Amino acid sequence: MDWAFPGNREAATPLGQRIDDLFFLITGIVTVTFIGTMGALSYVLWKGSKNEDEKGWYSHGSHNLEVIWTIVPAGVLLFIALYQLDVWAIYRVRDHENRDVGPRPSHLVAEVTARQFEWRIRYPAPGTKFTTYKQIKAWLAKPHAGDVYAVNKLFVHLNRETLIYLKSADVQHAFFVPDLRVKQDAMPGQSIDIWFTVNKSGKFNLTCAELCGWGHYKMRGEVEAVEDLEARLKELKDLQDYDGVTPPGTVPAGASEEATP
Amino acid sequence: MTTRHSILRLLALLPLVVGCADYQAEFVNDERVAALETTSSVAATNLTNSLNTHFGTPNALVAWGALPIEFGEISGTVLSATGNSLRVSLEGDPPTALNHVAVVLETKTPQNRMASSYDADTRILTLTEQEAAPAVTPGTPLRLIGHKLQAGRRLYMQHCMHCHGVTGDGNGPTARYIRNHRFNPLPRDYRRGLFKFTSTKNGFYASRDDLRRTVRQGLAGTYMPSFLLIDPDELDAIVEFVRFLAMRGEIERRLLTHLAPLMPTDDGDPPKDLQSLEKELAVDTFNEALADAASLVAENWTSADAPENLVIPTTARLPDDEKSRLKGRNLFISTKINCAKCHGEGGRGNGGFLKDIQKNPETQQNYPTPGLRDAWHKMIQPRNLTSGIYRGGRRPLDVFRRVTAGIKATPMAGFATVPETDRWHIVNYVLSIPIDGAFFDEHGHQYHGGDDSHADHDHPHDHEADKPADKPADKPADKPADKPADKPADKPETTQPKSAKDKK
Amino acid sequence: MSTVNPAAAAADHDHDDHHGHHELSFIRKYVFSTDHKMIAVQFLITTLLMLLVGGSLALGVRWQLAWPWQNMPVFGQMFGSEGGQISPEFYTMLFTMHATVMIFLVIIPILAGAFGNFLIPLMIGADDMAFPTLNMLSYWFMWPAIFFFGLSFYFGGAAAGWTSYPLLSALPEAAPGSGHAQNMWLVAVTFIGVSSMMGSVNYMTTIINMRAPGMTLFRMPLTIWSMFITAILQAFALPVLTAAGFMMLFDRAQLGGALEGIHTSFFVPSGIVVNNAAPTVGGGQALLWQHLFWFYSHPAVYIMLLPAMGMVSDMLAAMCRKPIFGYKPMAYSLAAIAGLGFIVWGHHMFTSGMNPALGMTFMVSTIMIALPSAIKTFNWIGTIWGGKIRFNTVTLNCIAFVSQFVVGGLSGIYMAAVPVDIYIHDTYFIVAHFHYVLFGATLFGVFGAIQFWFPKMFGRMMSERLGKIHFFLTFVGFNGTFFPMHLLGVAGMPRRYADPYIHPYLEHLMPMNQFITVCAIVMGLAQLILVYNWFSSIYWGTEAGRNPWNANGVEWIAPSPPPHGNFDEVPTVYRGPYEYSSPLVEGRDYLMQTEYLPPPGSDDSGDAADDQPAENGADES
Repeated sequence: MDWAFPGNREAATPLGQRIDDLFFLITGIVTVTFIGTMGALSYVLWKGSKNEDEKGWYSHGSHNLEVIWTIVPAGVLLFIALYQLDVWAIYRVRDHENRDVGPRPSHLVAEVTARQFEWRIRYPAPGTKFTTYKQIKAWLAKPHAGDVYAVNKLFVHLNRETLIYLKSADVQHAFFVPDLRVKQDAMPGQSIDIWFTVNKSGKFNLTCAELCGWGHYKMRGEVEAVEDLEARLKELKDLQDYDGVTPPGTVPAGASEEATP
Repeated sequence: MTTRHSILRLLALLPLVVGCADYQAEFVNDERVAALETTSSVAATNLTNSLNTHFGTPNALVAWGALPIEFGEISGTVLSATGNSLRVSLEGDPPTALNHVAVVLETKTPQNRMASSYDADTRILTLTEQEAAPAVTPGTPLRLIGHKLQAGRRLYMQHCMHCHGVTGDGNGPTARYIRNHRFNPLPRDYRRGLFKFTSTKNGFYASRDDLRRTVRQGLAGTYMPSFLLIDPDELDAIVEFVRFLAMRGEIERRLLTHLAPLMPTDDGDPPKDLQSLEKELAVDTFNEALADAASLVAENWTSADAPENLVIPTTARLPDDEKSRLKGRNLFISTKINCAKCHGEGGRGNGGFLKDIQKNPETQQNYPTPGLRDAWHKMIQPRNLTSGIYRGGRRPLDVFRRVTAGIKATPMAGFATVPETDRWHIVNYVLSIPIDGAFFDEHGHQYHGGDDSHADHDHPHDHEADKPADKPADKPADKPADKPADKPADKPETTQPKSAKDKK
Repeated sequence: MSTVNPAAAAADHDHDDHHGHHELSFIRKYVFSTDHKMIAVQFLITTLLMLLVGGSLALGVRWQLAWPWQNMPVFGQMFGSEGGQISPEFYTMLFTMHATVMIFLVIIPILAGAFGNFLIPLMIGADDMAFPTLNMLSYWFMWPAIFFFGLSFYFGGAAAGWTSYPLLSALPEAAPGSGHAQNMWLVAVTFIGVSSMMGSVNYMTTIINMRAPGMTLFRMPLTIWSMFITAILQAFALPVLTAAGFMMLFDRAQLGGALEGIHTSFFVPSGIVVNNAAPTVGGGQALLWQHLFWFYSHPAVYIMLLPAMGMVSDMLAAMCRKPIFGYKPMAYSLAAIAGLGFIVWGHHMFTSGMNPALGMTFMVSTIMIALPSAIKTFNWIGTIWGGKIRFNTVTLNCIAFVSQFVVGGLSGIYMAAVPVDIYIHDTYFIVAHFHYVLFGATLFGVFGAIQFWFPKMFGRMMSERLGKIHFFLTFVGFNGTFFPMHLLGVAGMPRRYADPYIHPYLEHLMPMNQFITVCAIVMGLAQLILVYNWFSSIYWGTEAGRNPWNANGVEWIAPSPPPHGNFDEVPTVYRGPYEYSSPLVEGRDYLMQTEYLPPPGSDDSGDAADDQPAENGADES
């Protein structure tokens, strides 16, 4: 039984891998603390049970000890705080100085709209290149010719940064891909950017992580990282343009009855 | 259509019981059965008994051979038998749980038994105890029937029941809360056998593919979510169970129609000649009516899956240019096809027909309030074509099918007699409405109605700041040559084409 | 830093002497009583009843997770179910109301309302609260809250989570349970908020103004410190929740009469279509609710913890026969936790869509708040260190408090690390964390406190044997239930899922969930032992004297149970409350706060001084 992180214990994004490292670091610190504290507690309890004296030890405390056990935990906590600031800043604060990570407008893959109780996805027309965020904003504002639609299945880049915008059609939802260690709440009225780089190919579970009603548990989706996203979107577009007569270009015959929503 | 004789034979064939150990739910009767009970309890009892006999209860389903349902059948042979434990060789892969699946032992007179478990490693099939059951001899062929129906029922109870109800009547606990807004579609009541979004011609039922598509893709804009990632076997099982519930409901309805003369009158009194009617309808001709109903239902469902009954265009989609769209627009507002009377001049679903009082097709009486209604007498609105939400699918083929065959059980009619080219023009126009607008100016350019600030532009242009992202291919920018003859010429300057909207 | 005016005390004193002529009716004595002790017992019984209600709702949740869609006992036959099988919205109602009942109707009232009410005047040497009538009202305002929560069940039950985020809760069409049920829920929360506010005003005033002569602030027991600080927390944080609740009520605009037509949109943006209803007309922001809600609810979690911390300190000192290790650091830590508690609310919202830069600021304050909690833990261990420990039910529950608090606090470190929180937010890891602090810490502290102060409340001792059995079953059941949830969370199992097993990556977790459910059922049934212990001890428990534990606090000089007015005469306080094992007295290991010792070197007439401690009850060990 696999009790550890899903995805065979290894996240599929660099951010995820750093999160896992941080998790294990904290686990180490916490385990030491727990053993230490519980050890001390057990010891004092055991000694106390054996205490044959008439009275207990009349002590109101020790100033030195107070100082020690204030400074040491403070130091450990400060270390944890500083260590993880970096991870957060690089991966979630978009205007971070380090321009080697973080999204560019050209990384835009899709707009994902969460609604009760599914994920509605819209890709820009295959071949569209965005160079400014203003263009992205204009594209997000309304439907455009050539947009490709999908539901519950999202294709993203493999080994290349993916940028998606998350919207909500009705109430709050949250876009949670456990294998990628990505989570972002979808706020009605907002378009929120999420970016990540998937460096393991495969299909990853997508699920909702904010109570959105009775079907909160039904929102089962899938994120698939593919080498050639362009080609995959072209396939989807061909399926979407199927008129019942002309076989869609790159899709094998027989698959054409698969309607897109 | 098989003869009555063979139908009656079918009735006797294969009523097998397929059970489940959990879930306490029961099928509910149609609302009219309670009324029938007050005048003729014999009729009501015969009705419910026959449903029970041929469909069973949720915990003990019956696999009735008259129905075109894949109950799930696995053939095999008995190799050796020790009491109730049979060592068998089965064709095909049985599922792991064969608990309460029906087993037919093809002895001289076929025996109906029930499986209690199956061990794939030892290939031991254990039957449940049955009194006075003869011993099973090696070499007896056997058939396991019903595992697919059973799986479908289990999956239905997990995923579907809370909206669609145990009986498939669209009245599950959640459905009672979905009624909030009057135009919110309720979960489908299967019992009429009608499904809205189909690929079949007018007058035909929904095919298995249609039901699969609905479950997998969901219905955009409604509470029917997409179960895209469901296992294909599970999907098939659910679809079979939905058909099972639909057929059960239909047979109940048809039997009620047959027994309609026995229902109380509007004053609540029993009908005259109750006794003789009762004898005639509820006793003498009842089984015949059941056979007729079954064969009709079977025929309907079988023909829906026949490839020749699908709507498939013969011509490819015409190129999606402004010319074609303009033609589509003209057809849209023409009196011949008159889409606008329901969908509105601007395609917003606010056409003039909504203000008229419609007639109830079953009773031929007027509905109390104006507006359109579906076959379940619920108010519905014509689709707002500007929204970009297409419940039946957004492919050109899907929209073509809507235009050709309409939407079953709704006032959306089919226009199969309109030439295919015209239908493609309409498809091109409809698909362009959310993106480019529903209206055309006198130069033939499309624009949005309402408060879109670009409505007053009559030439395409480029603003450097809002230069759109590079597109692979842009629309042709040339103006169309022909002008519409009977089109109300909305000046592009007006942002509110009120005159168009008010036109009836 | 004031002490009671002796003249005023004397006036109260006179009133008490004339008991005879002022016999109260049954209603005035037992129902609408203004005596803080009666009110405390009323709170205690009501909240223990609500504990059973909240617990059964939780068992419904657990049943569904162990055996999804199978027939659920009792609940499967109720509204919103179909033939034994609950519906998904029924499940959302179950966990919503479980949390709501536990937080608003159990933990907060039992700590502040029951124990705060009972202990504050007794421990500071006052005869009652500063505002007895307000105190009574604070109890009786609980009942409209209970009524409206019950009424919300009638409409299906609120189902937007106890956090009630819009738009799920703000738009009536968004879910079943977002209709009238949500309105009822909001009204009920307002009532319970008012009840809390009344209480907090009372406690603050009483503690500041009515301490006995000699009871300086730093001679107050830590219980009083914690109640005082909790009251401040309540006073400052609650108005924000109440305001937010009203904002949401007005957004929902379903109230009739004069309020019809108030249609604000604090939380509702424009253009949202839910359930095919007409698009919303708004301009609000759903995120605003989260800020307002968590601005209250984070201090609320400290409201739900601090009194237990204080009480456990007192109980540990008494049971280990030692002074508290580091009294002033303990008191300051309480204040630090409370103060910092006001600036950490954003740690519930790291993934919410607020500016990510805020993630860093809230992370820093959240990390900081671990420090005073750690200091307190070390001080508790220091208190036990070198003590002469009596292992009874009280001690066992306090040890459980300390150890489970450590687990809960350490799991909180993961969430303070923001990138890790991205992963574990809204998973079962969070559920494990807060149950460890709320149940493992606070509730065990409450069980200990019940056992400890029951003799004072009712004049009888609770059964030790039953107390120990209850403790062990609860402890084992509790850990079996909540520790595996850490693993579930790490495996990525989200919260609030009626059926997680339709997701392939969660399918393998069903056996663990079933194990958890079995432990939960054991734990739930074990509480019946407490109920039985409670009632049987009231009638048949060993009689207790004034000070069965040989403890130091002022409350132990009063009779058991104390009469109206509490003390025979106004006590005078000479020292702090933790002078156990003091070298100043021979032959015993406790030295009560009110005990007068002649100064060393003066005429030492042994123990013939005035204000002797009254006769001790049987020494329990």
